[in-house]
Amino acid sequence: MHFSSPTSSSPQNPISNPTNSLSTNNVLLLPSNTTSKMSFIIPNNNTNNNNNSSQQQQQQQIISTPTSGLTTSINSNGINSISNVSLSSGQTTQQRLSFPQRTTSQSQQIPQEEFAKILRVLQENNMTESVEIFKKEYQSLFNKTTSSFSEPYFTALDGYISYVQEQPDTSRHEFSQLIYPLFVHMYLDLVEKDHAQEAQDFFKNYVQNTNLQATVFAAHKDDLFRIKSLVTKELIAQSEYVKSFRHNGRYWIKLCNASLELLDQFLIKQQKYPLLTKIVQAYFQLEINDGSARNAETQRLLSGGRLGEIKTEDNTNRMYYGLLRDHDLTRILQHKAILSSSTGADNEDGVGDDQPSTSKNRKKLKKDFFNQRQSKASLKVDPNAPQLTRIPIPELREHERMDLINTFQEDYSRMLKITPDNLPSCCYYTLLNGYLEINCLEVSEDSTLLAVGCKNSSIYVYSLNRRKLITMKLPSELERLDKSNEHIYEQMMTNDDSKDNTNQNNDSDILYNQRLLCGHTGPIYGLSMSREKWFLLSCSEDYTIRLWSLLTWSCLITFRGHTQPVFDVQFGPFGHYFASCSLDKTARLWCIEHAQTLRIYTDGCNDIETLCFHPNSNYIATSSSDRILKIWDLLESKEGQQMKPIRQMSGHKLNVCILKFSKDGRYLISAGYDRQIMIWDCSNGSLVTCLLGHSDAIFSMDLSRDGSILCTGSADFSIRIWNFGQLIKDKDDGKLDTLQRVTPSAKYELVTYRTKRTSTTLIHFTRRNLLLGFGVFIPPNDSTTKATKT
Amino acid sequence: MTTTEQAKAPILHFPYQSIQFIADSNQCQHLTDDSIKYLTLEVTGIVRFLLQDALKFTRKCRRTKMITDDFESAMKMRYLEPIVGFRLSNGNLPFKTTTAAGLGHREVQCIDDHELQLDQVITAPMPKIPLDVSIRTHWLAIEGKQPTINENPEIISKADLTTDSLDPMKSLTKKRYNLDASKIKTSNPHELSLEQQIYYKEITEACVGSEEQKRQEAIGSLSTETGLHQILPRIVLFISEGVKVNLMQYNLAILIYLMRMTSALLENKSLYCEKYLHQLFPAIMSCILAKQLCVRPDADNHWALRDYASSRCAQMVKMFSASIHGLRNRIVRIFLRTFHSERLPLVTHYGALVGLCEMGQETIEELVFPIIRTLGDRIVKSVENPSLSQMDKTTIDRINGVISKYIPPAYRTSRSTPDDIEHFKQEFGNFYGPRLYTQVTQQRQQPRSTTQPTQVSESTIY
Repeated sequence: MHFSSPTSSSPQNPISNPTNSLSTNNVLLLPSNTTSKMSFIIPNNNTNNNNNSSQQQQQQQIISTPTSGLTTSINSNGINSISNVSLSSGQTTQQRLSFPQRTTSQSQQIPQEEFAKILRVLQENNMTESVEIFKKEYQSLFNKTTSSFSEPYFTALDGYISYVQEQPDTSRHEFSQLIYPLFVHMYLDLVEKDHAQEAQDFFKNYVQNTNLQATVFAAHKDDLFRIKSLVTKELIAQSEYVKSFRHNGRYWIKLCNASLELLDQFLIKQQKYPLLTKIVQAYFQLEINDGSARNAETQRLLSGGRLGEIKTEDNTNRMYYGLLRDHDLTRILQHKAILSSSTGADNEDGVGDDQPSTSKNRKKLKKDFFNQRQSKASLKVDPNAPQLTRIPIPELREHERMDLINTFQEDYSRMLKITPDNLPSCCYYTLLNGYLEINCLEVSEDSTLLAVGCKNSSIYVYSLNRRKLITMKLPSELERLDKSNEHIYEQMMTNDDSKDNTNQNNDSDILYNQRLLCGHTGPIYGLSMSREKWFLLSCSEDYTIRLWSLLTWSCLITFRGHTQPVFDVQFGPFGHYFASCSLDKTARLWCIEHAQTLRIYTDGCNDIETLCFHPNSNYIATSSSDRILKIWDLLESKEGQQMKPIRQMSGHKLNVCILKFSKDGRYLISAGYDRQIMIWDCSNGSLVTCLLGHSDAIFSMDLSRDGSILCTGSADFSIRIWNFGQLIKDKDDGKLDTLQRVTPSAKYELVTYRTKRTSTTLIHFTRRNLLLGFGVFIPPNDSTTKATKT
Repeated sequence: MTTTEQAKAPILHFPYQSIQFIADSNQCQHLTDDSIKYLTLEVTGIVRFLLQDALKFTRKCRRTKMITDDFESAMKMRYLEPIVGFRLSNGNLPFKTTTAAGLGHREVQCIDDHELQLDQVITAPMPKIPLDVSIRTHWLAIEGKQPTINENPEIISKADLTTDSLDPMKSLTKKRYNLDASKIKTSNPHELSLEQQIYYKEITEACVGSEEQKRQEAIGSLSTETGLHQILPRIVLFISEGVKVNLMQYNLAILIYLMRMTSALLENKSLYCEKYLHQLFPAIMSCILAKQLCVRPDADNHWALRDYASSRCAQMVKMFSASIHGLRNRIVRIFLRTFHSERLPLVTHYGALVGLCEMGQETIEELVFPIIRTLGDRIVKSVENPSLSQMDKTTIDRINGVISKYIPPAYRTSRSTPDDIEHFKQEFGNFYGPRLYTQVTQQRQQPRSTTQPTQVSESTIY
């Protein structure tokens, strides 16, 4: 029981920090320099609000004292009001339909100390009956006389909501952006001031408002659930959510100029609700958006981040999203593309004619169909491509190069082009008996190996073709080999293949080989296989990342550094580097040759859940629990500066499950539990469009090898195939009428494949553009949650 | 557990009493109300935080349902010792509710912590070995079209429904695939809707119940309803199990009812019983051949059941012999084998005889004619036996009836005149030869019509 002494303000009063001016030319901070104006205006205003009781007087007094004007807590009117939580647990819930007139008579109140004193005396004398009666009497007195502490909060928020309602339809949504953060801050204030019961009423009153539910709260359901559970001061102090909401920056709101002026008028000039003004000044940052008010739909799409939208300034730095120009891998791929087009198997027009004249090393990797369609001009050096030396990348070894040339010649020449008339075939791998046991899946680039990470900390590697998994020979045998032999790499491996290649087992349902990798001591959450299938990375709940050799089938290095479960790990597109992210709120960059971290990217108070490497190996994209996507640069920042993300994107309403860069590196595609597939332009961090269609969480995604087809797998037991190339082409031609808006599924969706009871957790296009789906079969008796939902 | 549900669900809150009880049981009886209230809030808050953390793991593992392991992981993350051993068994909470007397009869939940006997644990059968993960591949789509194979979901369309009704096994096998694949043999893959379950219950109750009116309706429904293919396996199972049980209890009436159900199923045009013959035939054959079908074999009319069942049997053979190779031969062989084993009582022989005769002209010619001689010898032998029971006498009468009912018409159509009594004696033995001779000659004089009573009249059975 807390009889908090009324004079002491809350120790960690968030409003106590006067706002430090960060204002740039187009950012208007509802500023500290207007405070003087405020204190002047209030007394005049008071005449209009006579019925608004003595509480406001209390506040006004404090506000008008210049030193404490902004630093005092909102609790200032609580001098004589007594926290009633302890006494009246069954307080009547407040009906917020009308604002009753309140008459306060403070003289009748018994000060809290005296009440406690009397009570103590009575208790000491064992006068139990008297205690009861006294309590009851006090309570009735109290209920009658004091207005509740939360009243100004209700009044203020109701006032603001009705103000929003008054606005014209065209700009109403701009104002409604403020409702959610205001609501949260008010609620947290109420709880922090030990008014738990009133805070609950406050919460219920607004969250159960169906009108608000549909508009304002829709994007923040996940956080509302968190807020709901914060019922005491202590819990707030512990909560990570509050940390990231209150102390991780300001809530960023973008408004058009006209709306901002109106808002300024309402909040600063009129000062009808000083409470609102205070919260806005303490926690909000308003940014002027060029031009007129944005579309309501666009605004709704971009909302959802824990701290509102993204500062425009944050996305202005240059990002080199083009592909690497001169790397061997690029060259080989390019070379093969020409080869294939000249043989005529690949009928992508233009490539064969345009390219042979240009010198080989100037050619850029262009796997993207829509780019290849373009004129010669685009074949020039991409100005957005980073220097090859920007991030040092190891060259390919000679035998790797030969391998690549061989395999690519074979596979890419037979690559299918997927068009609306020529839809991809899909081979589906269903993992049986693995429900609740299998956590993650990974398939090798050439689609021959499948790695399965289990809850019981083991990793299985399966061969998906009919070859046996190869193993390197023992050192003693290796020594005897002739090192000058050109087939040295083949000779290094034990070759059981020849014996078993007869395939006595023709049943395709049986796997031919599997390996178990043991070493972790917690559930595996992420796996990544290197391009040449030599290495496998795994990350686990035991805070470590392990590098496994897929030749000797043993653990090579254990990378330690994370201090919480590691959620994802991924190899860079050229190997060598890899990145990991963890619940310790960091993403880290590593290199397989060093046991130490190369870079640490910290993300305030948010867990980082998934990541994805940019195809040029210069950037990584992460998604964190505040539902904001961030792109980080691998290049070291300047001395002493903290690593800041180069791009940030807000718009997802729930956790993001999967991120992918488009094959040309320009677009980032993200999808997750909120069923939205969002496509972002990396050049400026803006949203291209949002594809809707799935009816449940989206778990997996892949782009076809030519980059023109997007494929998503979801928990609604379906795989959807989208014409991504067409979408980007339309966008470039300016024909996309749903720019920054929701694109309905009918427009770019080509086909839906349904599975029986398997939610696809991994989707993969093979080099020949055959679609592979992987998923764990969900036994029917586990469908209870599913059934109730539908 | 999805987020939308979480937002709507009532907020988790521990009851005040539980905390008090825990405090009491930890020797902290003197806590004030306020401190307990505070503790309640605090504990609730911690558990909520843990749940939120657990949700992170659930989401990371791409599940839509939180499991206890997620909660354990969340506890580990906060450096708490995970509670081991709390698993949901069959979806039930491992708690039981009791009232604590000392606490003013409040409901308290506690863990059901019963003592285990060591020898029981040792002698208990080994639990099932958890199955290893296996991978199954199939074509989800070929060039944009999803092939209609078991692994792919059914696309519900009219065409599919009709094939379903023609061959319910198809959908059944579709469902069963997953079972076979995961090698779970015990659980049942066949889901019935509530309506179907009710229908099944009502129908089966009506069919074996006491009200004839209801039974008529139920039988009528079974023979005309078009949407029965989903519960057909159940009904067939009901029949076959029902026959098994009632055969042992000599429950003639029920057996007759079950046969009528079978008949109704066969009559139903929309049903296709082919896949259930392995269950239906044994049931029917049992009704034909059983040594005893009722409590008082000499008094009760079990003959009617045998006749009815054999006509059903013949009907089924006729219906399905086209699609099932060798069905007729197999059935006939069973009858013949029964007939030739001399240890069996005469009633069984009667059954076999009727069963064969019902098969029609061809069978009678080929198979019944040769055995009449042995039958006659056997009857002569048993008549000579001084200890001939009343039962056997009736049986012999019945057999004679059957012989005279089926054989002469068959003979008349198969052999042409003239009839020779010696020839008859030679073919059918001394016992039946002369008799048949007279009957055949009598019939030859009648016009050739209405002479083939292949079916027992229904009236005997109703």
